Amino acid sequence: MAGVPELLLLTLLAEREMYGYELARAVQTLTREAIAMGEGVLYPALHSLETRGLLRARRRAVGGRTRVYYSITAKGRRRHAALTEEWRRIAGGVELALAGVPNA
Amino acid sequence: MRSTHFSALSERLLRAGVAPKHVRRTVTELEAHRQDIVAELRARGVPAPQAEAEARARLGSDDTLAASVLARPELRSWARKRPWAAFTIVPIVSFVAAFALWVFVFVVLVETLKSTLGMALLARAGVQPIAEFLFGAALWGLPVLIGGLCVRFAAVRRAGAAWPVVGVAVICAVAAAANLSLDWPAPPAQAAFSAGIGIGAENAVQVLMRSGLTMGLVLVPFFVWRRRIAQ
Repeated sequence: MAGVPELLLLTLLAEREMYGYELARAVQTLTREAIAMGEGVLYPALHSLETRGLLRARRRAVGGRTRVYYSITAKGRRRHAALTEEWRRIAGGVELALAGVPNA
Repeated sequence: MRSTHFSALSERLLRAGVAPKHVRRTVTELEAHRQDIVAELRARGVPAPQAEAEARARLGSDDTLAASVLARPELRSWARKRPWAAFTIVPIVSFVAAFALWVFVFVVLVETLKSTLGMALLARAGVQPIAEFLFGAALWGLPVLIGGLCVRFAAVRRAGAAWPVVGVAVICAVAAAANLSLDWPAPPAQAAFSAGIGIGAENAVQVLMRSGLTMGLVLVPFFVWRRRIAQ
């Protein structure tokens, strides 16, 4: 499961910029709550992606509150494409293995 | 946004060596997220105490949150990874650079005034006492300023005391051994400026005393602050 939060965050942010709470809700909706993680652990993952240049953050005042919005960078899009391909290859391999095992 | 909900987490992350900017951002965003969850639950009719408890549970325990931050070495403070550089090399180089810049600005200023106003006029304006005052400010003020910034940098990062003490001791010793002088004789003789560093048998006690005094000015508040935080 390593790399799954990174893939999910990059997938969501490849569509549009979002702030943390929005991202947590979107992860739940997108995965139909199949992936359970503390909503707070999103932030270290986001900060790490930002430190690595895959995301950029900006503060925006919305409704009297300041929120930190995240958006994907060009480097982030390349990383997203590579992770997606890798994930499909692994998932395909696992699917084939399960199909080949009787009563799996 | 200073959050009391995450103050224990904030202190824990700082002590573990996470960069202060990441700690501040994490706590600020967690607090905003907590408020969003509470607002969402309250809008659905959940009573306030229950909404608060559920929000905290959804975010994760302090242990979970701390572990998720500490699992990412890229969020650690570089000063905690290389304390010898952050608290000794950087402040010492900064002090030497600030001292050199100060001397350079002083010499340029005096030379400019000399060429525009003339030596006699400057002598009547009392250049010598002004220069003595400025030299004192540089030799006493600069080590306190740079040493103070060094220990503040360490305090904010909850760093250990050993390396900052070494850094401050070196800065204070170098500053105490440094000397500046300006000789401004009556015209037509030329003014002479000199700067140097050295410890001799004749000034060893003076250097030690100056060094000890500036160290005390910087380190006493640092240790008082550390003690207060530890309590």
